[in-house]
Amino acid sequence: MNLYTKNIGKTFSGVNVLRNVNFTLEPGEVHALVGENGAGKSTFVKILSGVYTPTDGDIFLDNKKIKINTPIAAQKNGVSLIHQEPQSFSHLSVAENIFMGHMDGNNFSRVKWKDINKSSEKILSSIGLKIDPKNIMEGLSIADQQMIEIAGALSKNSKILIMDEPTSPLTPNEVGKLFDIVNQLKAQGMAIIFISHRLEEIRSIANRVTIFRDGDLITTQKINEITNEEIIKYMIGRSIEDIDVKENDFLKKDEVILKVNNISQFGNFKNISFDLKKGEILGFAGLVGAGRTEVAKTIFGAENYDEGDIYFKDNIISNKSPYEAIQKGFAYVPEDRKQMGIFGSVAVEDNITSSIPNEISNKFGLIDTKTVTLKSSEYINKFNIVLTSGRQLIQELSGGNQQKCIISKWLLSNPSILILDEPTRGVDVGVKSEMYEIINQLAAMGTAIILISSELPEILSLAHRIVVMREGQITKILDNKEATQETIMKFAIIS
Amino acid sequence: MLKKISIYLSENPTLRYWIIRPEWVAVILLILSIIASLQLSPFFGDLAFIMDSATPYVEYGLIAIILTLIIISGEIDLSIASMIALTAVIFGTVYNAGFGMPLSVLIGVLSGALCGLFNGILVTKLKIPSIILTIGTLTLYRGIAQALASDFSLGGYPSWFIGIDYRYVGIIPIPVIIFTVFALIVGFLLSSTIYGKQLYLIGTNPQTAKYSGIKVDKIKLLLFTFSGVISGVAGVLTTSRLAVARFNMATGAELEIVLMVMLGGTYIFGGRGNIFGTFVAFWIVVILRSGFNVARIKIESQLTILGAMLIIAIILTNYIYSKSQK
Repeated sequence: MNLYTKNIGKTFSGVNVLRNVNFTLEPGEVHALVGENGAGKSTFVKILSGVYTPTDGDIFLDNKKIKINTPIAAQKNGVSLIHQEPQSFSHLSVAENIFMGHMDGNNFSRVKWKDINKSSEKILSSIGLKIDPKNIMEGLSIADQQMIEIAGALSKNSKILIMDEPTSPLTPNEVGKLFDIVNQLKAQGMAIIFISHRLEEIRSIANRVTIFRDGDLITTQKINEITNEEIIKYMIGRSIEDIDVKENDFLKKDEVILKVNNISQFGNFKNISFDLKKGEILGFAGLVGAGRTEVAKTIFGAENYDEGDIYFKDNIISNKSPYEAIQKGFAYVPEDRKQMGIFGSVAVEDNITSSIPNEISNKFGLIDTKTVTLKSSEYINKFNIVLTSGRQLIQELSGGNQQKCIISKWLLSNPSILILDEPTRGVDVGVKSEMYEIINQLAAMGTAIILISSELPEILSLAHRIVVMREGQITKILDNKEATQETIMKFAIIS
Repeated sequence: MLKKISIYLSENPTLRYWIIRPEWVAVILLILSIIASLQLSPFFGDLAFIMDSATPYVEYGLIAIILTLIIISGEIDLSIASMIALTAVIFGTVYNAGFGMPLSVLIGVLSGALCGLFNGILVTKLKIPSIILTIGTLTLYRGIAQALASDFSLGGYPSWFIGIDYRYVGIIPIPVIIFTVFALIVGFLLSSTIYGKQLYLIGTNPQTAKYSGIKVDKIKLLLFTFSGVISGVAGVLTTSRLAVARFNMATGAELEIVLMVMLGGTYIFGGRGNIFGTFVAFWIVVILRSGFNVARIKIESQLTILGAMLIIAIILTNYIYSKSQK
C-alpha cells in the first residue's frame, strides 16, 4: 500500500507544531524518521495512527483520500502503531493482548479461546517468538511485550507499521532480534515507519530517511546517499564530535563516598558490592532485567534490601525512604519518566522546585513564588528548556524537555551522589550531547554519579569504571581503558 | 466571537488557567440558586435568614474543608458522618459518666482522632483503597455508636453548652464564624504553603512524590487523623445544637459533604481543587436545602435532586479540566 500525505499540518493551542508535511511511504520499505525532540515526528505519526486529527492537509492511501480520525480508523486502513513503551494489559494472556479489540464475532459472542490461542501461536512463531500464548503478560520483558504488540499488528493484517523508538528500551542483543523481524516483514511487503535517535541503527535497517526540524519536513533521502554528518547537520545544523572520558581532579583524590557491601534483595539481586568515589562516573551496564534499576532504587531508599551494608562517607547507613536518602544528598533520576519522574498536570516551575521545599519557603512553610521562578528559570535558561512559560504544565513539553526538567530538579538539590537511570532514553542527539556535558561538569565538581544505561557507546564515552550486571549479580567491574562494547556484552550475557 | 475568545484563550495559558476553572461553575450555581430561591420567598434576600439557615450545615462544611484536602491528595474519607455520630455519642457517654465538660469535649475530639488514625493506618500501611476502607468504617463507626448508646438520646448538658447556633456576633451565628475562619485558614495553608503544594503533588502523581522525597504516607496519615479530629469537633457542635447525642445523627451526611467538595470543583481523581470552591458550594447547599424546605419539597425528593447534582458536578468538573488543562 502506498501512503502519501499532502500538506499535513497540526496546531496545538495556537502553536503550529507541524507544517506542510509531504511524505511518501512505499510497501516493502523501512522509512526512518529522525529529528530532535519536538521536531514534529511524533506528532506526525500520531496523525497517521489516528491519535491526533490534522489541522490541515490530506492523507492518501493508494491514491484514495482517507480520513484517519481515530486509532480504530487507522487500524481499519491497515495502519498500526507500535509504542515506544509497550502498552499491554498485564493481567491478560498473551493471546488476549494480541487479539484485543478484534476477536472473531460480535460483542456477545463467546471468546473462541482455541482459535485465538492457535492463531497467536502461529503469528508468534512466524516472528520467531517462543512464548505460550496462554501465559499472562505480567513478568514478560519489555522486548517480548514489544514483539507481542507487533504480533497484534500482524493479526490485524496491518500493511503499515509505525514503530516509535522501538529500540530505546531494548538491549543490543534484543535490538538484533527486532531487526531480524523488521527485515522479515519488509521482505513480505510491509511498509514500516521507524523512528529512532540512533543513526547506526537507522543505517543498518532503513531504506530511506526523512528528517524533521521544528515542525518542518526538511528532506527525504535514500539512506545510502546521505552521510551521518549530513543527517545531523539537517537535524540541528551543527556537528557533534565523539567525546572521550574526562578525568578530573576529584577523582585523583580517590575519596570513596559510597561503599556498597554485599547487599541482596531476594529474587532481584544478590551480593552486590562496589565503591563509588567523589568525581567518579560509575557506569552500570547489563541487559534490561539484570537488576540495575532495583539496585539503584534500593540505594535511594525506595526499596528494602534483605542483606548487606551500605556505607556513606564511612558511616553505615540504611535509607528507609527516598526522603532520608535525599536528606543525605542522594538524588535519583528514574527510568520511568512518566510514572516516577514528572507531575504531569503541574507547572514546570513547581516540578523543578519539588525537590527543594525548604529553599522555596520560609520557616512557616510559606512559599516564595519569586524564588520558585528564579530557581527554576536558572536551569530553564541553562539547559535551553523549550516552553512558553514556567507556569506551563510539564505534560505539554516534549520528552527531552521533560527529562531536562527532571535533571534540573535534582541539580537544584545539590546532590553529592546522583543516580541517573537511562537518562537519555528517548532524547535526541542534540540534547544527549548537552546532557553528557552536564554529567561531566557535575563529576568535575565532585559529584559522584551512578549512570545506568543500555547504550554502550554512552557508557563508554562517560563512565570511568563500568559495573556489568547479569541476572541480579555483578559479573565484572571494568576500567574504562580495558572496556569495549564486546567485553561489556560478554560479561552481560555469558557468565 | 466565541471562536475568537477560544483562540485568544489558547494563546494565553495563564488567562485560560484562571478563566476556565470549575469553581466558576459553583459561583454561577450559587447566583442561580439565590435567584431561584428569591422567587420562592423574599426571606432569601435577608442575610440574617441565610446565616441562620446555614448553622445546621456548618458541621458538614467544616468536614467538607478537610475532605477537600483529602480528595486533592488522591484519597477519600466516607466515614465522616459516622465519625460525627460516634464522637457525639462518646462525648455524651463520658459526660453523663461525670467527666466534666472540658474533659468530655477533649475525649470526644480525641476519639475522632483515633477513628481517623485507624483509617489512615489501614490506607497507608496496608494499602487498602480508601474508598473501600472508609465504606467499611462508615458502617463500623456507626455500629459502635449504636452499641454504645442503643436507641437512647444522651442529654443532660448544662444550658450554657446547648444551642451554639443561637449565639451571635452581630447577625452572624458563631458556627458560621467558626466555619468561615476555618475555611480562610485552611485555604491559605493550601494555596500558599509548601504543605499545601505537596498535597497537590501527591494527588497528581504519588509515585513521583515518593521519589521526590515527599513523605506521602505520613501526610496522608495526618490528613485522615485531621479528618477524624474535625469530625469530633462537628460531633460536639451537633450535640450542642440538638441538645442530645444519638447514634443516628448525621445519617447520610456523607452525600452532602462530598457534594460540597465536588460542586466546588475539586477533581475526584486528585491533584486539583481548592477551598474557595468548597466554601461557595457550602452556600449553594445551604440555599438549596432551605429553598427545598420553603417550597415544601419532600425530603425524599430532596435527596434525588442532591444526588443528581453530585453526578452533574463530577461530570462538569472533569469536562472543564479536560478543556483547560490537557
